[in-house]
Amino acid sequence: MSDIIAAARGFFRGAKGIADAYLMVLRHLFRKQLTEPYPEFKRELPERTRARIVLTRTPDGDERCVACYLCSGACPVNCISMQSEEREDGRRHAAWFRINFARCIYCGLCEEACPTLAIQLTPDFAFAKDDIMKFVYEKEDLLIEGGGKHPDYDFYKHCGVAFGKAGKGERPGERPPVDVKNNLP
Amino acid sequence: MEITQSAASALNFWEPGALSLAVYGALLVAVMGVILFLSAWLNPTKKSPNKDIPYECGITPTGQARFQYPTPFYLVAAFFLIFDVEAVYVFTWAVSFTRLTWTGWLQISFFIAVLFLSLVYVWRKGGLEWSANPMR
Amino acid sequence: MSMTMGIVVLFVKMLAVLAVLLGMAAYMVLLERKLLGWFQLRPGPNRVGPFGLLQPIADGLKMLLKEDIIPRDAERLLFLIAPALLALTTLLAFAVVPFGPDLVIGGQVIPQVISDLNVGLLMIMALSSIGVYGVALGGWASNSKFSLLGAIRGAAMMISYELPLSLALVPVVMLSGSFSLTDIVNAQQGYPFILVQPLAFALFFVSAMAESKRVPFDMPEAENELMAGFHTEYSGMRFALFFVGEYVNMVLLGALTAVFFLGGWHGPFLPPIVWFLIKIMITPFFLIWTRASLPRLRYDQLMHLCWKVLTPLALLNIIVTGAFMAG
Ligand code: SF4
Ligand code: SF4
Repeated sequence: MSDIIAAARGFFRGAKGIADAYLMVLRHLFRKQLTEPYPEFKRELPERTRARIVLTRTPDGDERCVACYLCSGACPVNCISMQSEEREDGRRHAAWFRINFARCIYCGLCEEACPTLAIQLTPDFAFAKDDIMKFVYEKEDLLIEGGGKHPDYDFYKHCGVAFGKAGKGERPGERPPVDVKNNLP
Repeated sequence: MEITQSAASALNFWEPGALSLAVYGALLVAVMGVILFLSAWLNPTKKSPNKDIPYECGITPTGQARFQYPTPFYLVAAFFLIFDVEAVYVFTWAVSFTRLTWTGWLQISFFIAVLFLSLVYVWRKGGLEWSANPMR
Repeated sequence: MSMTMGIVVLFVKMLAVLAVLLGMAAYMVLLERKLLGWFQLRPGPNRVGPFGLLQPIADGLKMLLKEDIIPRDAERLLFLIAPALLALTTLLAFAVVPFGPDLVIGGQVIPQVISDLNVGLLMIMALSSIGVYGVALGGWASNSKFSLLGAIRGAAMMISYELPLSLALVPVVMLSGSFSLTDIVNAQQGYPFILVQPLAFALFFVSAMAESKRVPFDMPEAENELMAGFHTEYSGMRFALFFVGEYVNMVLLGALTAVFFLGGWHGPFLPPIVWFLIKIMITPFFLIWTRASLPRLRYDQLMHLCWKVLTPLALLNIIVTGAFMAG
């Protein structure tokens, strides 16, 4: 007898469970939808969102990249390639610089590796193309005006490298180079 | 006389009988054929060795995928056959039920009771246990 | 009336049925996506046309323009005909479903059914069993393990739910004394059978849910364990035919539920065909609602449910119904 009662109780508990699920779902028909339609409503993305990559410039408008190959080496999918070159004034820069966005996984490692803060990822994620070759961006496509996330930074102001008018240790905040031959005790 | 009449009624398109069923079936086959022909005609197949591999979530399949059906399947299939044939008897009884009386009911009740007992027997013997370790 | 006229009327009738069916199947997909969306607090498809109403057409065109891939080592012939088999059987079953009472136009009786067979119910049962061949053969022929598992599950399910499905209909046959669907509807002139046979209705409905291969009984195509089950390897129009089969099957189950238990086209005020359409739509709505509500069963659980619960109940129901009717 008690078996039957237990079975009946189990049956009703199960039935109630199923009915509750149905009711809960039905109630959702009359609730307000949470969806924001995308192209009409664009969410403000945080600055650090990782999407399309750009090359930025120093405050005085010169290109930042010194073609050190660090980003290229850091990239896990090897989608950055470039050729370094020395300008007439002795400064290094990239003769050409190419990012294949069809391979890029937007991991941001290139940005982390860059000593000059030249290469930066931007929140512009929606750039689809009808042809995969159009994803290969050259330096002209990558280089933008301005300094991106760090507008004030200029690598050559702190680098201690002789370049342009200033020699080694002549820029503000720099100490003159140590003469290693005179450094004996 | 009767035969000719039934033949005439069988060939009558107004009559919703076997003829219209056959025409409907032919129409359906034609529609399927047109659909499949259209899709084959619009998209010529482009063979490529990688595309032809059966999909297994990126793992290259090994061996054939034609292993045997599990054994309990045959057992349950045999039960199904037996019980389904018995269901046919029940159906033939049911359709003439209005003309039968308590006798008919008693007879089918006996039949169903036997059916029921055999089901219970199979159940007790473990023939309905699909897996070795059922949850319930 | 002349023979030619008869042929013309027959064809008009068939094409109307076919067009309405395929249209309903296409829009059933949209309805399902919309309803699932609403159940999950999202709008569902709403880009193609107003409220996404042109979505089925876009989907159909897309399917038509997709390449039809046949996997390596597939059993070509079986692979090619399996989807058509499934779609064909479900569409063919509609031949015996009556949509309304006989029309009389110009002294000529036009029955609103394609083929009023006196074994209609048995034919539907037979076709639903044949439909499983589409699943089993398609899954077996594609030479993919996922497909084969789906096919085995489909066949294993079929041998479980067929029995309660047919036994649940025995009381309906007893009450109406006929296998013809038109006669069954006519027998429900006064009251629909669901009022006198709630248990048979419940048994039929649960088995029918299993027949439709949808949640909670969608083991043959359980997408999170078997990719797409028996149609994993299908693409293009053949894939679409599987879908046509599935959604026409939903409509068919709605129609059968309406015919067997809800009184077919009978109803006050509205014209018969409208009543019938309304009653058809009840079951698909419930199936979609179920899909949003319930998790999936394991297939041995389904077999236990069918063999140990539904079949004994159906047998019992037959005896009790017989006792009431004889008494
Ligand atoms: S984001 Fe990652 S993948 Fe893309 S270029 Fe930078 S390092 Fe390479
Ligand atoms: S972008 Fe940065 S890391 Fe890459 S080469 Fe230029 S300076 Fe070096």
